[in-house]
Amino acid sequence: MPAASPQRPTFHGDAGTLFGLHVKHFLLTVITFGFYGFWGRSNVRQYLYAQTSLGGDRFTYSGTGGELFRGWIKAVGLFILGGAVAVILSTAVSEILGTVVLYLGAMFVLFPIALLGSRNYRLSRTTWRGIRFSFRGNVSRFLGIFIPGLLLSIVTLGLYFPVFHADIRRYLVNRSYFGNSPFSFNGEGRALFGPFLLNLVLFPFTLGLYSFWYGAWRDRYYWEHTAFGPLSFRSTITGGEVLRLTIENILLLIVTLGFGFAWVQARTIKFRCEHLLLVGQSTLDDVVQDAQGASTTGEGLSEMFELDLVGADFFGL
Amino acid sequence: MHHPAAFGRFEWAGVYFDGRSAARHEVTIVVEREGLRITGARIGQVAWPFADIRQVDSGVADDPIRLERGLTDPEILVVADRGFLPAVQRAAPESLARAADPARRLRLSRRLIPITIGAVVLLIAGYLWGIPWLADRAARRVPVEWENSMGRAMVDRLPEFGAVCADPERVQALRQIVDRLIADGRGGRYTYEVRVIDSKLVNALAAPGGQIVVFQGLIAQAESPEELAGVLGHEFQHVRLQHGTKAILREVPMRLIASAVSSGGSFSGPVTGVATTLAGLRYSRGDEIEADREGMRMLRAARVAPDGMLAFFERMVAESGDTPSALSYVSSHPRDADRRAALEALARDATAAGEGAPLPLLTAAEWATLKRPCTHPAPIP
Repeated sequence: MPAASPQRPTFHGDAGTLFGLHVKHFLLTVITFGFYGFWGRSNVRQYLYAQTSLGGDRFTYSGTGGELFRGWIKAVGLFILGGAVAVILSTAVSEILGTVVLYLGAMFVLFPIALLGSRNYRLSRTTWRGIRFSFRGNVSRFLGIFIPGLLLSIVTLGLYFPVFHADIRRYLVNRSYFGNSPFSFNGEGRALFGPFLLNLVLFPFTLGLYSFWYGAWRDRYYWEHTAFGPLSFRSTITGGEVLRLTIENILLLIVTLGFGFAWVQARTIKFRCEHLLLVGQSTLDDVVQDAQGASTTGEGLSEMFELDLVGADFFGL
Repeated sequence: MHHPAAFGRFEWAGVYFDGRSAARHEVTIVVEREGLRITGARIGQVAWPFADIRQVDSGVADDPIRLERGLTDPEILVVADRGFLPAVQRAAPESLARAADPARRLRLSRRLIPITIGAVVLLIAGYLWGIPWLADRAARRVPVEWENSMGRAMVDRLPEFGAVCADPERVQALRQIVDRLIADGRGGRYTYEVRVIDSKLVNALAAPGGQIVVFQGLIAQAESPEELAGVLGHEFQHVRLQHGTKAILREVPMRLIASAVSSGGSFSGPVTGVATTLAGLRYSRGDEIEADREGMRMLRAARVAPDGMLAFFERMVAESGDTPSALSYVSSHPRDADRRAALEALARDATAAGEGAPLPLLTAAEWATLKRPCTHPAPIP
């Protein structure tokens, strides 16, 4: 069957069920002094993925709480190690050096490793039409992009940031695979520069609200330059809609004292699905199974950094 | 898409994936005695013996039925028709007979929401009332020595605020007020020790076990020994009623639970945060009212004029505009119309009851000793 063109992902889940899951998750977490949290999080993800479909076929998520827990243990070990190094440097050399090494280490090394690991883990646990996604990035090569990019962004007082951001996007997308076929990104940071400057200039006059329009513009630009073989993506997000969704979500959380969390989550995923299009003709018959294993450490680290990007990385992007 | 009825009883429409490619195959499934026969335009015929088939249950009501064959990269069969699973179960042996049927499952929300809301309410109630109730019971069993060492540990950190005013005349005058208040067992099982700290702060603190600290700034603001006695009576009652001990016994488990729960992420964080803050506010307010009431009783029983306590509190409220320090008397002893009215009623009550005319507390000379600036500061022993 050729893919109908264009098509969008659909979210079938309902907030009531999600709420039930969260409540169950909450109760078991309390009883187990927090340990159930890993399993609960996995269950919620399993639900969200299984309730999302593209072309009528559901995604699956096969990650487990045990894996998240092991990832967390490893991350804690890594942090203790980092802390120990900082303490040794502080006492042996100087206190300032120890602190600087700790913070720079977290910013320049741990954060990118977490970003990569989290992506690696999630993609490797995601399937669609029985075919696994995977991420084939390489830590040292990613650090080779991340560290100079972050340094340049700091040195140029943020002006380099859009280029840095697009470079990261390119690396992450180009090394994401569905079966044996990679996604591709051909966007350029330079193209972001004008709108980025405009956002900086307008920021004080619009109380930062213009960032919503800039963010939506960047989102559209990114998706337009993202492809999977003959298929390409489009985003129809607008700043006004994102702003409205954000305000509504905040109000919902305040009014319900946080109990509306499940509704916020479901609305946000629905919103993302409704604004994403897959364009082009392809049967995807040529895509065949071909995937590799993943370590769970990155996932654990991403949890410590609270980089929970639920809904952001369906379709491996 | 064919309607299943068009195939008769044993034929169903579904979607098949072979586990090797992303190709989507619309297929016809026939339920036979030994298994499923799957027929599609590009795959020909595939036979799935029942023994090899397993159900992958999403646990969600009305989801399509998903069957798989093989362990790594399994073949997948997805059938949306509600009649399919019962048909398979009628034909299949043991293995599939117990498969969960999403069509017969209540929506998770309908089944779980009432139960879970009830459970959450119970848990929150247990958290807000159960833990404090247990803390109150436990506080009574805490030995005085434990409270003493706890109080010591707290008071030992106070030199940060200033030195202790240890001149003998001052200590002697203060002792007279203390003894008068706690005479006849009014202080309960505790031994009270009041220290004056050389600091401009207008405040007084009670640590568990009977360690009381009064800042010289508060004595400077008091206009009579009765006013000071009012403050001391209030603080003594915090000790006698174990407010500090109870707060510790209450807060420690509550904070532990709150931190355990918020590590679970999602919406549990804000919920427990709000609950803990509410609980803390409620109890500190209740404790202040109780200390007011019992403090006033103590004054009456000791035959100290009760209007001193009232006058001092009133003045502190009136002046609080000028001293917005976090350690000011008013910020740690919140006051409102209800509490003032309650205090006034208690004071009136005392006058009306005519329990014996109030007796003076200190001579003018003794009071002057207390009021004079700290001249012989010494560190806390």
